[in-house]
Amino acid sequence: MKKSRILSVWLAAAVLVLGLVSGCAAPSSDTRTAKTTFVLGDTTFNAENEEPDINPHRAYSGWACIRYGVGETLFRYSDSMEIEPWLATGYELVDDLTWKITLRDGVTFSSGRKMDGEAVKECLGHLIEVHDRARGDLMIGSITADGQTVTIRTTEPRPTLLNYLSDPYGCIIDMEAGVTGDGIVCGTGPYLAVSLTTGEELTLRKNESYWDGEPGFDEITVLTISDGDTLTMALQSGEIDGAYGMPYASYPLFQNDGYTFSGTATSRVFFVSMNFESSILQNPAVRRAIAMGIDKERFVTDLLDGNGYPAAGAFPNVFSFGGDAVTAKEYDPDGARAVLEEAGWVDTDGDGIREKDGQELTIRWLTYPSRQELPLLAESAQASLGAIGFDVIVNSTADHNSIRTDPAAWDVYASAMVTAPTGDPAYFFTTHCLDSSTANNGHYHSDALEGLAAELNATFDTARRAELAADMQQILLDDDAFVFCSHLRMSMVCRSDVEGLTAHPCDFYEITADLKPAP
Amino acid sequence: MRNYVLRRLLQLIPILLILTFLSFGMMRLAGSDAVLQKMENTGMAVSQETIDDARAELGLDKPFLTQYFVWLGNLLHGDMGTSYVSGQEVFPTFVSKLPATLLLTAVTIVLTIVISVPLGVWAAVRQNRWADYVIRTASFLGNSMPNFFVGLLLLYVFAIRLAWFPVISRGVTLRNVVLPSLTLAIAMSAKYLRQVRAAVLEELGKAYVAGAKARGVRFSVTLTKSVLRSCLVTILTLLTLSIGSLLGGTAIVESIFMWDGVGKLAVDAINMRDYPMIQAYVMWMAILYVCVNLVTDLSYRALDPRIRLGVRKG
Amino acid sequence: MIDSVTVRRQKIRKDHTRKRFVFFLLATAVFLIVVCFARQFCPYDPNAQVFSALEPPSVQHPAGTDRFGRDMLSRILIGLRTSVLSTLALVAIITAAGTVIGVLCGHLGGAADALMMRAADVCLAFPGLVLALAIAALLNGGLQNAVLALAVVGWPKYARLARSQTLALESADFIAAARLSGDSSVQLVARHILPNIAGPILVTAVLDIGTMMMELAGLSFLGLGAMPPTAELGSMMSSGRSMLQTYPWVILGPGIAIFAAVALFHLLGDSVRDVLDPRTGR
Repeated sequence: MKKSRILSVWLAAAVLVLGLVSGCAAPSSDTRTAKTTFVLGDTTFNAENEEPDINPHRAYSGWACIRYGVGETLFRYSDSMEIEPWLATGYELVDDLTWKITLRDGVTFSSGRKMDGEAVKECLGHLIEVHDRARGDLMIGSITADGQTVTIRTTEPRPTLLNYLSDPYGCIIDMEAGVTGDGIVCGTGPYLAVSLTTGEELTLRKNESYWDGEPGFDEITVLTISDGDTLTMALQSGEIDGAYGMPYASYPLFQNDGYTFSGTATSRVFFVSMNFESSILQNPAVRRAIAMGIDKERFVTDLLDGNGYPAAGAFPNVFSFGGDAVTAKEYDPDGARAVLEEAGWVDTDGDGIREKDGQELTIRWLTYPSRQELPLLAESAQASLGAIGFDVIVNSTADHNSIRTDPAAWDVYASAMVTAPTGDPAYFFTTHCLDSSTANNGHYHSDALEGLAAELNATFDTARRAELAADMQQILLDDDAFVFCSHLRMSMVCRSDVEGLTAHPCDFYEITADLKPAP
Repeated sequence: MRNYVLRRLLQLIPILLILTFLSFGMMRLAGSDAVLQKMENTGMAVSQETIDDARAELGLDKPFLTQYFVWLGNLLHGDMGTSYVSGQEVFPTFVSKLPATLLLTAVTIVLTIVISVPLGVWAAVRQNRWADYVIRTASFLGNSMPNFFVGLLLLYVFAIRLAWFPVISRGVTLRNVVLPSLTLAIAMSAKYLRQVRAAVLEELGKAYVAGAKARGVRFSVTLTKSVLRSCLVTILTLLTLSIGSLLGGTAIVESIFMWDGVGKLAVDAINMRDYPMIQAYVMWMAILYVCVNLVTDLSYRALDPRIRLGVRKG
Repeated sequence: MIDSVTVRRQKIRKDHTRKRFVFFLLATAVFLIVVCFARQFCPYDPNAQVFSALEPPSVQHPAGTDRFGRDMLSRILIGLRTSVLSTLALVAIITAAGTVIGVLCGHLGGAADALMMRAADVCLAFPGLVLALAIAALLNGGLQNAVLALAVVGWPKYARLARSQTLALESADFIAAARLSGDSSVQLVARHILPNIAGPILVTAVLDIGTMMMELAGLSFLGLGAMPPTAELGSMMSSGRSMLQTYPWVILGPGIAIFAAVALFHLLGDSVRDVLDPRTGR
């Protein structure tokens, strides 16, 4: 009785707050009876990934433009990563520098304007004016338009011009309609953007006059959900219909009849670069033992929960020059031990770590935590290399970008990158393996590789390019300069009352006209 | 009085200068920059030329001191610059996140008081009885659970199992703020109910309580009229400290509940080395800090007659 | 009559307080011994990735296995050791440093006081994450540096507490008496001030243990914190975060260990205060 009064005061306050809350809590009615809308949750659509909006002429925003079905490119990638016409119907290589591209007839922008040579010329002209990366890739000297054809002259022979035109920045948009303050553009895709808030949401509406079939939904919302667990729960609660970027650990929750998965190997690869400035790694036996001592299979099955494929070379097997086109060393701990023994690395003091000439077999493994798979790779390799006689010191730090430029600070560097964003192999080699590469952190050098790279640059024949790419990867593997551990399997999950959300190896195409309610 | 407030506010200027300079310097020491961080996120490598161009565009190629003074000079003209990441102007971006943070802070504080004060008082009154033990155990539990754990648990129970709330809270509304603020309030209450309990226990041990009892004053009256009032200073100190840290944002909770406040903005800015945005955040923290301290002191004066009358607290 | 009853009651209560203190002290001692010799109690090598991954708790693995195929119980034991020892070190550092600075400021006053308090202001208002990042870059990652980063932002709280307590005491009669009887500054601080402010500071320190354990773990996403393969409870919880619904033992095991440690230290802290501070004994 004594304290009951105070208690009742507080209870009343608590009830008041709860009442206030539940009063606001309108019952969430299920409006999806006749499914005409679709909500996609995506973890990467934000400014931190250089996708602040859907304007393809800005940073990597083209990815959003093409993924969410607003923009389309002149050429596109087939499921086997070959170039096929899209907004173009064909091309003719007049000479090494001149490309004559025929455009599809009867395509209009969502602004109502017809897509013709002039429109494409304006769009590409603006692109190379404002977008540094595109300018460097395309090397366009001049563009001329004539009816439904455009003729592009490059300043240098550009065998991969069509690949670059298929990059998301190559989305053809109506420059007359321009770019709104929110970063909205008018493309030719199955959906048109209605509103956009950076890092929050994008609303799309069906493009009634789409040229290639009828889009399946009246309205689509793309929500940026940066937290993977929130994304999981939003799909569980039915607030979103499809998800991109779900944590692997959540997959078991959706492996049932209520959901469908679509996955494919991408060219995002987790790989290890050896530091050729490091005295211990200059020893070929040590590099070889590392290459033989990383258990890729286990990394993929246990740690990636099967959401990856063990890698041989830099490219996954959807590419003709990927997968089995090269041979990498198998995981072979006994072989690795033998290699080390032979080179004189033996454990003399019985501490489990091998020595040679008083030097312990210690390697410093540099990596970073912002990509969740990398610390897992480090920890897994630490154990499997440890069993062979290595002492692996892991440094997983957000500061890796400055450390990796100091060759005295690390021995191996594990990182993740997209090796063939344009479907062409040259990119990986020019950025990572040559003397002129910006990301050749380990200062690897091979005369043979430099020679082949020069040849690759001047080769137009796709089959020959593939051959060269395979040979070049083999050089890297034979030198044990890189160990390619795993290709990421990119998966999208969606409710099974929706069909057509299909993962594509190049990761460019998500929302297409094929996305529709399941019958 | 007015002079006192003015003097305290003037202290803000040196603190702002020191803090912004320190944070500028420290971000420099932290290595990397916005250009490299963006490259890492997209998983693409670009040529050194492109990197250098991008740096030059942001002024990152200039010496450190020049960068700082350019920033300071612009600030004096009322220009806080544009974000290196989104390209948006810093000031409006930052201000647009404030309503969410303010609402979250307010509701969290209310919830914390509603939870921790009655439980703390109850535990004190029933010291070493079962109620006390249950409450204290709950407080250990609250104290040993990370924020993300509580947040995900609440989401699981209230959004998925019971479906009372949506998982994705779109918009700054009272309904959407409940789960995130409950997450924060649980952790804070776990701490504060113990402090309240201790404060009440100390007060209850004082002679006047026994005196009042002897005079036949009902215990509930003593408790509400005297004991709680004396504990108010303790509670107030705790709350003002928390208000400061809450207004500074809570990145994990904001990210789990998609609550668009300054915490996530700050952490993203720090991770991306978005210097102008970090500077805005540092200034916000400094202003908060000085203001919260000032308000605390002023309210002490109002609450405690000894301070108000200029008697040194003994 | 009534007086004697009260005295008797107080005596019983005092005995209880003593007993409880001794009990919790012993419990904590046992706990610390277990923690320090955690390796001896591990059923398996905590770093051996030899079992199948993500097995639920069973007789062989009472706490299950993690996704590397390591025995969770062994990792929790070792993780407890890492977390408890580093947290205790952190709390000890900030308490000691903060108290010394606070008492000196309060006792000496003047310019030194003003300077230290402004320094404390700067540390308190400075975003800890920026500092942590800079420390990670300057000194590299690792648990010691995480402790250092948190210590730099943690001490002002204790300095302010110690200072205000000291100031309050300075005007007390018994201090004036001690001063009059010719005690030197050092004696004054050591004999009268420190013992009298120890209680509140200790309570705050104990309350901080759980929080600090979490904060140490919170820095690991910047690469500040325990580096693999070191087990650490907070990082074990945060790295198991996405498994809450699918493999809950990965996150619940370390959670229960943290709870046990936090509860034990709090109970000890409470009983220490009860013994030290006769007022709360009622």
